[in-house]
Amino acid sequence: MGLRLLKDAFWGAAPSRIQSAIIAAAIVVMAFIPGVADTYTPLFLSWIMTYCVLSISWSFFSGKAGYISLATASFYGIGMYLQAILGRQLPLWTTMILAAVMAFAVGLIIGVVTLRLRGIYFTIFTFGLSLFLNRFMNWYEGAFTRTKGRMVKPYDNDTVFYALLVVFAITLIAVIILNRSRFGLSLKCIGQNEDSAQHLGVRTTMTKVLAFAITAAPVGAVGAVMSTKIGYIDPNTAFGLNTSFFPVLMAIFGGMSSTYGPIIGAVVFYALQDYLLRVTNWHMIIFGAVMVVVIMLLPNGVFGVVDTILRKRRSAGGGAEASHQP
Amino acid sequence: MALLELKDINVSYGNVQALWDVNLKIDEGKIVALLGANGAGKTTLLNTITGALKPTSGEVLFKGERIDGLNPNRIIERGISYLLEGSRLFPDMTIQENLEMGAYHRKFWSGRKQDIERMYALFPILEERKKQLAKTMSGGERQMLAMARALMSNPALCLFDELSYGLSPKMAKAVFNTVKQLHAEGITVFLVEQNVRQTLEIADYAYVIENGRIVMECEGCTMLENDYIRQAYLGI
Repeated sequence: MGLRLLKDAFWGAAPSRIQSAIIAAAIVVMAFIPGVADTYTPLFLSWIMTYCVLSISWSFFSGKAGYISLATASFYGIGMYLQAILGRQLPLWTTMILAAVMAFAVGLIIGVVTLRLRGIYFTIFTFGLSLFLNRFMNWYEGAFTRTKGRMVKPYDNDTVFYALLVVFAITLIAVIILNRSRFGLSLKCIGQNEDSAQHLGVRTTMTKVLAFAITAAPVGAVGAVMSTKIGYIDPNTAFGLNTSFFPVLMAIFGGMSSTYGPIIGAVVFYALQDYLLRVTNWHMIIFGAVMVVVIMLLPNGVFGVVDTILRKRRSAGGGAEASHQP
Repeated sequence: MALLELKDINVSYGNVQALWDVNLKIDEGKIVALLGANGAGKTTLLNTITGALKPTSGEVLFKGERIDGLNPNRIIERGISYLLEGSRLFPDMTIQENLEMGAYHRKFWSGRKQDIERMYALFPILEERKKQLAKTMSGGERQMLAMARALMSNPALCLFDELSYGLSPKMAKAVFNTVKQLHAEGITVFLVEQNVRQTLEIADYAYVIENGRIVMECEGCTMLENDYIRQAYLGI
C-alpha cells in the first residue's frame, strides 16, 4: 500500500496534488534550515542542490533526447567567470540572471552548430568544448591578465544557500511542468525514434536546440553562485571535467525514468563523496567501484528498480483479474 | 474528383532515377493498394506524397491543390497521415503517450483528448493497456497502436506502408480486418504492400509497380484472376 501511495504521488502523468504539496512543503522546510542548523549544514546542502540542478538539467535534455552532452562544465565555468568578472560591481541576483542568459546563449549557438549531428559526434564535440574553454582561458589569462586565476567576492553561507534554493526550486518545478508538456513529450520521442517524430510533425532540430539551451541556463546560474563559495577560480576549477561527468553518473545512478532519480543520485553521490573525502584518500577508486556495481546490477538506476517492481505488481494483478474471465 | 492524384511524377536519388512517369489516383472513401517487390519504388512513392522527397518533375494534387514542394509539417496539417514501415512506435512511452504524439501538430493538439477516446472506441485493446509501455505489446497490437496513432490527426487520407510486415498470418488477417473496418467508417486508405493476396481481397483498386514504373492497374478482385499477377506475385 505504501508503494502504491508512493507511485500515485510520484509517477504517472500530470503532477498529482500530493506530489505538488510534498514539493512545496519540502521547499518551505528547506527555507527554514539556515535559521536552525549549524553553519556547516547550509553549505553542505548548497553543494547538494548544485549537483541536483546539474543532474536534473542534464537528464532533462540528454536523458530524454538521447544526446549525451558533456558540456555541463562549459556552462558551469561560464557562470563562474561571469561572477568573477562582474561580481564586485553587481549584486548576486543580477549576475545569476546574466550567467543564466549567457549560458543559454552559448547553448543556443552550440546547439545550432552541433545538434544536426546524431549520435557520438555530439558527445565528442561537447566534450571538446569544455577542454577548449579550459585551454582558451589559460591562454587568455597568461597572455592578457598575466595571472592564473581570479578572486571572487565572497558571500556568506546563508546567502549562497538561498540563492541556490531559488535556482533549485525553479529548475525542479520547470522540469516537472515541461515533462508533461508537448515540448517534453516531443523531446522524449526524439530520443526513441527521431525519424518517426519527424513524420508526426515534430520540428526535431529546433526542439533539440531549444531544450539544450534551456537546460544550460540553470547550470550557468549555479556556477555563478558557487564561485563565490570557492573564492578563487582558475580555468581548471571552472571548466573541470568532473563537472561534466558527475551529473551523468548521478543521473544514471538515480535513474532517469523519473524527475526524482537525478535528485536521489545527486544526494547519495555528494554525501558519499563528502564522507569518503574525510576518511580516505581513495575516494575516487571506491566511487568507481560503486558506479560499476550500480550499472551492472541496476541498469535503470534506483528509481528504475522501484518502477520495475511496481509494473510487475500491476501486471501480476492484471493477470489475476484476467484469469477470472471464462 | 480524386482525393489524391499523382501526375507524371519523376523522382531521382542523385543520378539514379527511382520513379518514372508515375500516374496514380486515389478516390475518396476507397481502399487503394500499391503492390510491388522490394526496391520497386513503393516507399519512394510514399515519401513523395508526404513531402519527405521532392519530385524532379510532375505534380501531386491533394483535394485539387498542389502539395509537392510543401514541408511534411504542412502536408500533415492538410490531412494526410503516414504509417511508416515497421510501425516505428516510441517503445519506452506508454500507449497513451504514443497516441498523444499522433496529435502532435498544433492544429490537432488541443483536441487530443477526444481523439484518444475515439481511438479507444475503435481499438478497445488499447484502452485496456493505456498505461503500459509500447514495447510490452505483441506485433499485432503494435500495428494497431501505430494505426491508431496515424488516425489521431483525423486524416482524410491514411498511407499505410507494409502493415503486415513481420506479422504472423493470423495477426496479418486481424490487421487487414481493421483496415476494412476503417474503410467502413469512411476513411480513405492507401495500402502499400508485399502481401498481395490479402491486400487484393480488400482493395477497391490496385496498382502494380515494377522498377519505378506503374505496370498495371485495375479493380482489386479482377487482378486476382490475372495470369501475370498469379504467376509473378502469387506463384500459381
